[in-house]
Amino acid sequence: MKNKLFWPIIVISIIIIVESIVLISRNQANKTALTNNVEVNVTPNEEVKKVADVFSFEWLYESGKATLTLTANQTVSIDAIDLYIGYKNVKVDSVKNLEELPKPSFTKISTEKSLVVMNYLISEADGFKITAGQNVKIAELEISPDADGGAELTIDKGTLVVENGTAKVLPFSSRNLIINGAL
Amino acid sequence: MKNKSLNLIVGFLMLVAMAGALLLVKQNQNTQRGAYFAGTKMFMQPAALTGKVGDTILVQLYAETEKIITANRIGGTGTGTDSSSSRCVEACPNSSQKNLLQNCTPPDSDGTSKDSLCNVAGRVEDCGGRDYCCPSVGGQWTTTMTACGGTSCGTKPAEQCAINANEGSMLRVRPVCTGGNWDFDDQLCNKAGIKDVCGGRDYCCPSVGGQWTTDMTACNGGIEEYAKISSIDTVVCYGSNLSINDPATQVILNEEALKNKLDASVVTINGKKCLRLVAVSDMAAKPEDLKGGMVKLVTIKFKAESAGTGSVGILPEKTKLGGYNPVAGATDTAIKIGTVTDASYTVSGVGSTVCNLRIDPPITCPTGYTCIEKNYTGPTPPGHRDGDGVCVLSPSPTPGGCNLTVNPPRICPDGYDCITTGNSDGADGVCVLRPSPTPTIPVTTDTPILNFKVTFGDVKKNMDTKCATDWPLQVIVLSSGATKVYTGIKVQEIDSSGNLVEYKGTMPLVGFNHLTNVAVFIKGPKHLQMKYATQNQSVTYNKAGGELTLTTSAATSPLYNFTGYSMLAGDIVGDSVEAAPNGVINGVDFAYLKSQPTLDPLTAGSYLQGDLDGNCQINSNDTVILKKSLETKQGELY
Repeated sequence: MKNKLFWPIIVISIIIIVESIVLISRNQANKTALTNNVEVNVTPNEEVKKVADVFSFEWLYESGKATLTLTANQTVSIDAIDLYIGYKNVKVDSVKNLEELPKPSFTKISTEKSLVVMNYLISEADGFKITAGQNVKIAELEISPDADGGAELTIDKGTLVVENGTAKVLPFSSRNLIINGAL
Repeated sequence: MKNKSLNLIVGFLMLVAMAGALLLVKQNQNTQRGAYFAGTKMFMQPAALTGKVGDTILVQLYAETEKIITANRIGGTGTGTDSSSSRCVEACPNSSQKNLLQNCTPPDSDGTSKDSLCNVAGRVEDCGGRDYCCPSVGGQWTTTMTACGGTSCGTKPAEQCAINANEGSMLRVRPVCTGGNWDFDDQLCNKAGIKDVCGGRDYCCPSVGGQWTTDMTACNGGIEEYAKISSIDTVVCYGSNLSINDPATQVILNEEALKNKLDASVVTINGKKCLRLVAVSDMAAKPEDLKGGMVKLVTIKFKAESAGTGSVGILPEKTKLGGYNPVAGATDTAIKIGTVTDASYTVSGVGSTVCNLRIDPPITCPTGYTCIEKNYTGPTPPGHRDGDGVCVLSPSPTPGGCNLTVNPPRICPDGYDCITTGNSDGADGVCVLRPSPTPTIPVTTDTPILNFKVTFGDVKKNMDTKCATDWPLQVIVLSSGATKVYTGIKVQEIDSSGNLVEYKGTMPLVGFNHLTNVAVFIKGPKHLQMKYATQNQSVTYNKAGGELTLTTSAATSPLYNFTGYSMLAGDIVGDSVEAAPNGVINGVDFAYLKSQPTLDPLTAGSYLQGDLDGNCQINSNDTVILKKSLETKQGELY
């Protein structure tokens, strides 16, 4: 190619292409600040932190009796437990408080919603103190798992543990109790 | 020469093409987003904010996302497209497991087949429109009903498609033989746009609580679905009489809709103070977990700093909603804001703050206010100590504060009127705060009027209920699928015939155009919302719609007596003590009550969120009331 303009045109074209790529990349970077399919022109200024669990709900199962316990990871005093236990492939015959906590204000086995509901409201001014590592029995369920297996007890998402004094909802972890048909 | 010209033209065209491409790329980033949903509204509740200096004034920001129509069918054997049916595989019985029926007529609630095992001798189940009998435990389903002994139900009855308004319009379809009797699948008209088949004909439910009809117009498109919100980036501006000093505690997300606050800061735009809020829903939320329709997004707790009026408004040009679009899916996640409605506020001049100059440390008034000691005649009322007073706006109304005849005249400051007293030369007077204009409600002669009587749970007659006054109600009215929300409704105490204090209210239902089949949902400020749908109602109304009839005259519209079904008290706070009541009574409400005891009662007419019996203090009786309410409500729910 003998033309004098050939190389200038090529250079300018390359510059424009590079500029386009840079602009588009910047635009995309802005959009990634956006989390959830959303267009926000800010960069998150605080990280969403996973709060340490204060309690863990755990199950013990023996001979048709499932016992729910609450273990504290730190010493804390509680005012209330709104407990909702979901169940499937199992018949819940009865539920009782094992008297480590005061008598619940409300207890019901809802066969319609497959839920066991217990509301513990602690009237004592200082609440119910649980020390770090202490294990408190919350409820005992007498159950008859279905012969086909697949019986399962879960802590439903409506469950709350509320701290004395601050009325804050305390974070907790829980595990499901799965009973195999062979048991 | 020819080559030279050609190169020039080619080069020029390339430059133009590149520039055009760049322009297109940039424009594409900004246009046509939200095209699927352009009817979403944003508004404030309440629309008129009132409070006194020093008070916390709550306002809630709502979005009402646009609805669209998507196809759906809940059962029957009609010919429409059915997403549920397409997932349902019917087998009567299953060819490889003859003791299993997999029925899709209709499918189960999750869209899959309704499975029945032959595990009880004599059991009769319906599958594919036919009855099957389980002759023995573990046996094979058979259509030979004699094997089920006497449990056969005989000839299958016809489906009942008669409309019965008293039962809220129900179709009785798909009879199933159960225990020797025919059991119908009853379908209420409780969701706009749903369809069903009855007696071989298609039926449509045109609105919640409406009548099933063979006119399919309202259902041709299917059911309504809403755009769902996953994020917000907005600016809310407010007048100088209000303040947000600590956005972390004064701006509270509705975590059911928006989980994470990315930015909440006060900025100045065009000389006005504004809240910049950016928040997103739970990162792990799926489209079905997101909230659509009428969604409360955030509660803002303004501090009333000074007397005055103004507005709290959303800047639409700086507001973006993101979310899930059931039609466009992931291709268009912007939700365009159609209309924005602001709120107005009125901060009155007299502070509610109690002041006391004698105790140590003294309780002082805010800047611009003067502590005026109250002069009690006789014994000091309970809860008051010597030196108690109230904060009044300075300058305080003082006799002789204005005089219109002396020269120069002494005039009142802005916002005050001179009221002559007749003293002295007849021109002396006092400066009194000019009353705020009472908002005028555009009542027309065709506006329905609701007259009603209610009671608050455990606010008892002949007991100390001096603080159970002016408790504002939220009233929602519903008829034929149309609803209207009214907030800040005041009711007046009247003579009571029962054990509880009764309150009467009369309200024009502005913007609501229905006079029949009305249902009313009433919620007190610390109470659960109750549904009222019949005269003299004393128990839960468990049906769709309502039976109230109204007129457009306060004199002739019936006075509905709901006093027999009092509002349950105990919904004091939300998921946290800072959050507004959330429609449930739970452990957080209880713990809040325990943490807020008042040793000395407040003065009559004061307001305490945890004072459930209206005796001007929070004590053990309030916790007892909460427990009773909880027990009642849980008993109804579970």
